[in-house]
Amino acid sequence: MSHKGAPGTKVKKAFLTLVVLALLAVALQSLVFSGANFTSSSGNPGNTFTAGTFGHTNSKDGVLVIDAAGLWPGGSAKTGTLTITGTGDFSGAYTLTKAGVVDAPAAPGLSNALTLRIEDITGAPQTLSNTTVAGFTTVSLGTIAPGASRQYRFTLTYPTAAADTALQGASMTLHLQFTGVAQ
Amino acid sequence: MKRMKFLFGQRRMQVLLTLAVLLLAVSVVIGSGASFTSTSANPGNVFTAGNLTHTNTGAVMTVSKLKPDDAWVSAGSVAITNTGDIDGAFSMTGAITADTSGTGHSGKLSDVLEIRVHAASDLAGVYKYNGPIDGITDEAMGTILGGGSASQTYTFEVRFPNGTTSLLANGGDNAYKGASLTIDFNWTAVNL
Repeated sequence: MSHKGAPGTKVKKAFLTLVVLALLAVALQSLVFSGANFTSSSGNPGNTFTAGTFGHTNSKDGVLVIDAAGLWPGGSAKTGTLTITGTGDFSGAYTLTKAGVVDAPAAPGLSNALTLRIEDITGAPQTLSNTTVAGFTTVSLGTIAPGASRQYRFTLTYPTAAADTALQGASMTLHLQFTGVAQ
Repeated sequence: MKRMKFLFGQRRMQVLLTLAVLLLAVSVVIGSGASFTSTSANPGNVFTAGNLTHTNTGAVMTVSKLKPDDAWVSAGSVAITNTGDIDGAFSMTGAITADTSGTGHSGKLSDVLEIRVHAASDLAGVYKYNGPIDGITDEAMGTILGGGSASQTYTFEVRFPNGTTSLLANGGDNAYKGASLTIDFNWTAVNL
């Protein structure tokens, strides 16, 4: 049997008081943060942004352009041609870069003796570069539009003036890389 | 002696009664409201809630063949008109609903594309938003006054920043070839 003023009753009262205070706090918070505003909304859905595509094809991609076996000083030149065709949405500014050269033996190096002439033969032949393989670094090939093609000729010669008995039996491997940048 | 006390008592009573009557009289004079008066009224006062509405005349923006060259490309414009009768503070959010890589590639435009929004009333070079396209959270677009069909035109531009400036390093953006992104722009006005 409990009596008014007993410890149990005081605890209940205190608990009820806390519950009431908590409810009041929640109600007050709702009033403060209710965000009671007029609003109006609209939308612009489905806006689409798409990147273009860009590329080219190389008629000799991954294969030899010139197989120049049996060169000798003053001997006939070795030639090879390839065609670059623009693909995708944009015109491209193309460059040809020497991606690497391997001489065996490394010295004196056949690349110092051989001359590489690069021509654009799409129309009337136009020489773009004419230097030793060792001296060649990069050359601009001009602009190629999507769907358009340009043909290039590579001529490798062994000038008599570059003769060196130390190069007998020497070999050289040249890697060329075409790069187009969308414009 | 008793008589004197009685008389004195009577007199005191009379004095008290007299004072009470005088007090009552003064009170009547003061509180009688005997004044000239004039009255007027303002009847039928009506209080009506305002109306916040707006129209949005923006067309769907479509930009194709984007490429990494840092150039800003015009995407389109949106005209917002406050058709209500109270001023509105406008904001815009962006929700990307599609973000797909190009065939054979893995890059997504949400990682690189930038967008900027210019309000016609702002100075040139001032943008309500200028940043990554996936960062449009709740951007303040300014106030458009109500009551007069005031309008604001917002122009949108996008760009694909160049990922590299080195010729030999070109190709770093190839992952984004053919990628496509679709975004919804949602506008909200809140009364001021």
